[in-house]
Amino acid sequence: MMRALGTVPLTLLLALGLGGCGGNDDDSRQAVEDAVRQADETIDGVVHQVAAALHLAGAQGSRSFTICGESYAPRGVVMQNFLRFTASGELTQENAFVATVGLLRDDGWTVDDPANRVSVVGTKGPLTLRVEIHPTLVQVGVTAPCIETSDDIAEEYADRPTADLTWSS
Amino acid sequence: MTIIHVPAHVPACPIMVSTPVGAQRLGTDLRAVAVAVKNVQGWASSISAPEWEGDTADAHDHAATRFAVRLDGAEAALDRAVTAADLFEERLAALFERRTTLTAERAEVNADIDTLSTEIAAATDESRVPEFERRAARLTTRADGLVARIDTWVRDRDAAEADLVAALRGVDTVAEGVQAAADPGRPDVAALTTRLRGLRGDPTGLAAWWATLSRAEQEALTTEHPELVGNADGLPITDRDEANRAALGRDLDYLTQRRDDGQLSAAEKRVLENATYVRDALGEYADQIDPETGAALANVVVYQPGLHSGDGGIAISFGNPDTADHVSVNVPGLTSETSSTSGNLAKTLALHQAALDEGKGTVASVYWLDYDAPSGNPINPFDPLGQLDFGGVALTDKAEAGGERFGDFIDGLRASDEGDRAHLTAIGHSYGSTAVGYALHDGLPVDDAIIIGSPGQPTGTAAELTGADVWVGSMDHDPVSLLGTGDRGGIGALGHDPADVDFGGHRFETGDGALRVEKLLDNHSSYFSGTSLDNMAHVVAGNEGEVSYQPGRGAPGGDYLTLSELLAVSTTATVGDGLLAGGTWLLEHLRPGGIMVP
Repeated sequence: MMRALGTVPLTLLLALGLGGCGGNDDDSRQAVEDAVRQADETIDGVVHQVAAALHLAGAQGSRSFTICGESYAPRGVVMQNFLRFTASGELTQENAFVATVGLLRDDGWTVDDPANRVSVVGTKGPLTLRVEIHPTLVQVGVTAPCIETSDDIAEEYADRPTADLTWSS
Repeated sequence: MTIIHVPAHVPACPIMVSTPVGAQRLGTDLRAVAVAVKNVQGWASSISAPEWEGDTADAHDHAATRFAVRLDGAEAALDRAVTAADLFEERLAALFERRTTLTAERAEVNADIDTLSTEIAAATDESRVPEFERRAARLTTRADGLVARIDTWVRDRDAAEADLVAALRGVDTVAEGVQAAADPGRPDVAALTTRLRGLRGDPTGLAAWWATLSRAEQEALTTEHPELVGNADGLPITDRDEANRAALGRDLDYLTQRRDDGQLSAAEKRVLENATYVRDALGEYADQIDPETGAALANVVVYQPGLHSGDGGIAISFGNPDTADHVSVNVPGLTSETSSTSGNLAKTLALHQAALDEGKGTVASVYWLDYDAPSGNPINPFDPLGQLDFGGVALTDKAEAGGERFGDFIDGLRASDEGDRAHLTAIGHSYGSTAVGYALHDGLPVDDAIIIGSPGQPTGTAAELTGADVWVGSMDHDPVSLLGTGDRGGIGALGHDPADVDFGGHRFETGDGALRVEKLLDNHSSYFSGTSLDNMAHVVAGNEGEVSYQPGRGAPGGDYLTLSELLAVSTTATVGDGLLAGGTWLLEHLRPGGIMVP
C-alpha cells in the first residue's frame, strides 16, 4: 500500500519530466551527429557522382549550424552544407539536369519535381539535397532543416564557427 | 565515298582565375583600409594643443599638419585603388555573364557536332550526304563564330586584369599618392557629403543624384562616410553593400584592437559583439554565389551596430533587390536583435530557394531588422539575459515606430529598383507582423503582404489595412496568433486577428502545429518550413494559383481553440503523454529485479 501510494507522486513527476522536455542532451547530440554522418556520406557519395557526371571542378564548401527557432525557444539545429563548383559546359543544361535527377533517384533520394529546371531538389531522411545547375556554376546544398534537440545542444552547435568542407578528388 | 568535314569540338572558355567574388573581397579590404586611414587623417587634421605656447606649440602644429598631409596622400592613393577595384569587379561580372552564355552555347554546339557525327557514322548510303554537308557547314560557321567570341573574351579578361595592375601600380609610391592628392580632379568630398545629407529622406531624389556621380566620387563618399552611404535608402544595393562591408571591416579591426588594449567602452563592446555576429552570419554564406553576376549572393543592405539600445540594426539580402523580378522583405518579431541574424538568415534562404524554384524569374529575399523589437525572454522571466520588455510587447509604440522605419526602407527599394518594377512582398512574423501592419496602413508600396503568427493588426479588415493582397498564415496551435481580437475574443492589445474570417485576408494552409504545451512556441517559429513555406514561396514568386488555403477562423471548417483553451488542452496532452511514459517506466522498474522492489 505504502509503495503504491509512493508511486503516485513519482508517476506525476515522471509525467511532467518525461512529457515536458525537448529531449536529453545525449540523444540530441546523437541526432545531430547522425545527420552530420549522413551529410558526409551524401557529399562523399552522390555529390561526387554528380560532380563527375557534370565534369565539375574547383570544389569549395563549408558547413555551419544555427538554431531552428527563436532565442527563447531554439527548438533544434539547422545544419547547412554548401558547395560550389565551376563547370565548363561539357553537358547541355538539359542533359545535366536529367543526369542529376537520375543519380539522385538511384541513390534513394525522392525528387518531387524532376522537371524543375532551376534546381534538382531531393529528400532522404532528415536531409534535403539541392543542386542548382548553371552553365558555368553548380551550387549544392546538403541541409538538415531542423534536427530537434535540447536547448543546450542547439546553442552548443550554433556557437560552432563555420568550418571548411574537405573535398576529396 | 563522300567525306563530310565535321568541325572539331569547340574548346572550353577558360575558367576565371580572377572572379567577381574575389574582386569583391579585394574591394572590401581596400575600402576598410581607406575608411581607417580617413578616420585617422580626420583626427590628425583636427588635433591641437591649446595649452601649449611658443616654439613647442609651433612644432606640434607643424608635425600634426605634416602627418595629416602625408595621410592625405595615402587617402588619395587608396581612393584610386578602391575605384580601380570597383571597376575591375564590374568588368569581371560582365565577363562572368558572357562566359555563362558562351559556355551554354559551346555545350549545344558540341552536342550537335556529336549528333551529326553519330548520324554520319550510322549512314548506310549516300542519300543523306547533301543534308549532312549543309549541317556540317552550318555547324562550322557556328563553331568558328563561337571560337572567335571566346578569343575576344580572353582578350577582354586579360585587358581587365592588366588595367587593374596598372591602376594599382600608379599609386604604389608615396610620391604618386601625393600627386593623387594634388590632382585638381579629385572629388570634393565635403560638397558631396553636404548634398548626400541633404537628400536623405528623399530616396527618389537621392537615387537620381547618385546616378550622376562618377565612380570616383561614389567611392570617395563611400570610404569617407560608409555609415551614411551604407544605410541611405534609395542608393543601389551593391553600393550599400560595399559601404557596409567596409564599415564592418573597420569596426572589427578597430574595436578588436581596443578590446585587446583594455579600452573598450560598454557601448563599443555591444558594437563589437554585433559586428562579430554579422561577420559570422555572412561567413555561413560566403560560398554562395549569385549565378547572375558571380558575386557574393549576400548583400549587407543595412548595418547599424550601435542602434536600437545596442541591439543593432541589420538587413541582409540574398540576391539583388534592384534587379530581381520578385523581391520579398521579411521582418522578425519579439526578442530579435543582431544576435538572431544567423537563425533568421537560414529561414530567409529557405524562402529564397523555394521562391527561386518556382521558376517564375529572378528572386531577391531580404531579412530586415532595423527596428527596436521588444526584448527579453517570454518564457522565463528569471532568464539572466533579461526580463521581458512587457511594455514593448503589450503596447504598440515600438510596432508603430518600426513600421515607419520599414516604410522608409521599402521606399528606398522602390527608388533604387532598376528596369521593370519588381513584384514586392512584405512579410511580417510575430511582433514584426504588427510593425508591417502599421507600415501597410501608412501606404507601404508593396504588391503582396504576408502576415504570419500575428498577435494583431491595427485594422479590423485587410481592405482597411492596405490595397495590397494580404495573405495570412496562422497555426491554430500557435499561441501568439491567438492574441488578436477575433471571432471568439482575444486579448487584442496589438490589434485584430488577421486569421479571423471577418478580416478578409487570404488564409493559406500552414497546418496547426503540435498540441503539446512545450511545443507551442516551436509552432510559432515554424512558418518557414513545410506547407507554410511552400505557400509563402508561391506568393513571393507571383504564383498565387498554387497556394493552398484553409478556412478563416470562425468560418465553416475554421473551428479553433482560444488561447486559454489551447493552454489547457496542450498541458493535458503533455501530462497525459508523460503519465503514459511515467507509468510505463514504473511498470518496467517495479518488476522483480527492478529498482523499486526491495
